Amino acid sequence: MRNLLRARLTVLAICVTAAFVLALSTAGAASAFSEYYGDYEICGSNCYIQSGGAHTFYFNEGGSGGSPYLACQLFNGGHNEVSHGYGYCAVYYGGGEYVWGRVYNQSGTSHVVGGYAET
Amino acid sequence: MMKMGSRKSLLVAGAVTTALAVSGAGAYAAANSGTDAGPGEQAATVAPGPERQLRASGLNASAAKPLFTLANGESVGLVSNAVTKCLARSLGGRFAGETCATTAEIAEGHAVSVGDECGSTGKNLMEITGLAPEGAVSVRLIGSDGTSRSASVVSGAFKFDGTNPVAGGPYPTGIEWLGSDASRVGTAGLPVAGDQFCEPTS
Repeated sequence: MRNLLRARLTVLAICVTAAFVLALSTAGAASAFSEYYGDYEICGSNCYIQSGGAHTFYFNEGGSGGSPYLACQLFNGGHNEVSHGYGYCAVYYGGGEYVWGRVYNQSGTSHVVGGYAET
Repeated sequence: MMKMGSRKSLLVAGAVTTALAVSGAGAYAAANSGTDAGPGEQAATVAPGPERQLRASGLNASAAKPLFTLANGESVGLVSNAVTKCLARSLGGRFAGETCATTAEIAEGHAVSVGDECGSTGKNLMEITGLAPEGAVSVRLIGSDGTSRSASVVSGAFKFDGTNPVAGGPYPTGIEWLGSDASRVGTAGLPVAGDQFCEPTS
């Protein structure tokens, strides 16, 4: 009887532990912040879309149809990282500070531009 | 019979607990991610995020063969397959960017990247890296004032280290690839409009 009770408790403990470990590991993986922004038409004379807030962004990318000149930026008062590309750009910042994300349209003509940033 | 029923109850309770935990984590994940992909993302074949161009090409930065180091400390390596070549950059062991292109895109000059660092706490560095077409052994960076700088093509790739153009001063406008006999193999612009290298922070 004692062995049976012990076995039941062991099974219950394994189930509960597995559930919490799974929940914690999954939640931990998803705790990194990410944000889509923009996705509307902006002018081509260096107009930009911008993230909704500053975060400890490590990555920021922008895209548009065709191959317009785009510039991706991560910045705050002291840091300003920019990367330029054709139709797609991506910039990285490893400093760990709170930075904003922007994507500029430098093509000279209006384009729908979307951005995505993650910590 | 009683024992069997208790065991079933125990297993059901465990399964319910697991399901609740998983669904909670799923809701947490959903709450922390967006759903509106931009046109660039929609056109791509892989999810947005770091190493996206590499992932879309079925390549991995860890397989890159080291080529050179940039003035900003980034290491640059080359990884390729039958269709695509990619320059992969890393800094301190962490991925820091890529430039990927097919042979046709390289020939069109769409495999050139420009990176600026314009912050008040930085060194105002500018890095121009890219992939050169077949036959190119050197590359010339042309300035708006007519001057130029040259660099060698290494394993089909090149780099120019420098600083950002000062306001009102000359700035790079394009590149020219040269063959072994110094003949022009091709030209390409830079993915920057005019002198819009440093972007504002306000």
